[in-house]
Formats: sequence, C-alpha cells, structure tokens
Amino acid sequence: MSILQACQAMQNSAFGMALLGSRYMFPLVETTHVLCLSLSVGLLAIVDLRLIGLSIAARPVDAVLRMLRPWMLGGFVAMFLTGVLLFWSEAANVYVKPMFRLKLLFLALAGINALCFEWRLGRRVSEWGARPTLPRAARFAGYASLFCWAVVILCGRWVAYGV
Amino acid sequence: MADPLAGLMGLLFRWSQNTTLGVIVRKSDSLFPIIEVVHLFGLTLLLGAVVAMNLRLLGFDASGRLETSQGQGYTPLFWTALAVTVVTGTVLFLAEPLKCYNNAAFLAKMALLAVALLFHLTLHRWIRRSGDSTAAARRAVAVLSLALWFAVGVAGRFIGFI
Repeated sequence: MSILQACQAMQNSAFGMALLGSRYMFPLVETTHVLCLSLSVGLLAIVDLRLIGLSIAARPVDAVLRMLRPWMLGGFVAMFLTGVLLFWSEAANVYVKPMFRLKLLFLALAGINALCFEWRLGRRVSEWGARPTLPRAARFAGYASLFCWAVVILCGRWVAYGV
Repeated sequence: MADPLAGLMGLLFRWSQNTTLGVIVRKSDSLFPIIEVVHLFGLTLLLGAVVAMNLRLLGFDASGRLETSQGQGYTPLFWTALAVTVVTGTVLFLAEPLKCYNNAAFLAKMALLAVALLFHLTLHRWIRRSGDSTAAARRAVAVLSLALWFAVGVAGRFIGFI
C-alpha cells in the first residue's frame, strides 16, 4: 500500500469522515491547533528573540528557558495531537499538496535546529547568564528557529486555503 | 423592512466598504492571504508576550526580576506585536467589511479586544509594576488576562467559521 493509499484509507475511515463533517468538533480542533501554535511558537519566539538579542536582553537565558520550556512543550504536544486529527480528516487531500510537504520539511528542520541547540549549547546556557550578546552559534539557532517556524505557519495557512 | 445598514454602525460599515486600500486588497488574489499570514505572525508574538508576562505574575519566573528595568520586560514586544496585528487586522477588515457586519464572532472579538486592552493598561499594568501586591491578587489578574486574550483569539478564529 502506497502512502497515498494509506492517506486515502485514513481520510475515508469512519473517524476521519465524522470529524470532517462534524459541525462543532472540526472548528474546535482547528481553533485548538491554531491557539496552541500561537502559544508554543509565541513563547519559542521569545526565546529566539532573546538569543538574537532583540528582546529581554537583560534577562538570564537559563531563567527564561526554565520558565517557558514546560508551556512551550505542552503547547507543542497539543498542537501536534490536534494536527494529527486535522490530517486524519483530510489526509489524502493534503498529502499531495506541495505546501503541506514544505510545511513538514520545515517542521523537521525546526526540530533538528532545536536538538542541535540542546546538544551543542544546552549545557552552556547557564554560563551565559544575563549577557545581552550571545555566541554566534546561539544567535544562529535563534534566527534559524524564527525562519523555520515562519515558513511552517505560512505553509500551514496556505494548506488551509487549498493550495 | 428597516435598512440593515442604518445607524452609526451601519454608517461605519458602509464607509468601510469602498476604501481605496480595501478595494485593492479585495481585488488581488494574493494580498489577503499574505496580510492574513502577517496577522498570524503578529498574534503569535502577541500571545507569546502576554503568556510570558502572566507566567511571571503566576510565579513561574525563578529569577524574580520585575519588568520595570531596561531589557527585562515583555512590554516592547507586546506593543510591537499589537501594532502588527492591529494594522494588518484593519486592512483585512477593510477588504471584507460586509462579511464582518452582523458576524457575531467579529463583534465579540472587537468587544473582547477592547476589554483585554483596557484591562492590560489598567489593573494588569499596575500589578506588573507594583512590588507589594499579594500573590493571590497577581495570580487572579494573570488568569483573567490569559482568559481575555485567548478569548480574543478564539473569537477571531470563529469569524471564518460562521
């Protein structure tokens, strides 16, 4: 079975069709998806802006991360789960869309960027303290994260427009 | 039958139908989605700033720093993000005012936005800056602020659903 056939089977399943056709569940799941996105990416953007030095430059990076990380991750989990539900209801329709594939690609890139940050710089975060200007690698991670997530949001909105 | 576009609100909506900017956006295929995505970027940053401010009020900020000193606060980000959302939101409205007219979600969003902003500039601002408020008061204000801003977001999303 090809991936497209699997997507078609998902979309045609009783659950997928019930979700897409439901009067309240679909808007509810979609609204949750968008708001969780705003929550998690909004908080992540604060971390990124701190890494770049554009916002809250006098706050210690580790304190910022410690306060925001649980909410960011919680938002990501909820965004991912509601995203899976939305995909379920329109799997074959969106699977063939270039914008959807681009979105998944940049989602993966954003994840790799975050993992690289943890591996390479995670232990050094506490050393930075409240220094406004951070090492080049940290600033790069901030820019890369902002760029990847901007593309993800852009593509996500475009998928909903039907492109 | 009474003219549905009568009255002050009707006047506002009638004027807003034919602004130069609104007509340009309406006639273009790509401008509306582009502006809407920028609106999304703005509201993402706005919500991030609001949540971060309120997490501090809820006591999750281990550094214990107030927001009043230079480079400590989320206020510049809040205002920048609000400016982006309001400007793009106004253009989106001008592109399709008739869709917003009589749209309960749109009217609810505007009312909630007004309340959220008023709250943000008064009680919320005072409690963000004061060092002698009780933890319970800070928590209550933070929860109310989060509820208001998320309600603005929910109502905004529902403009497209109804």
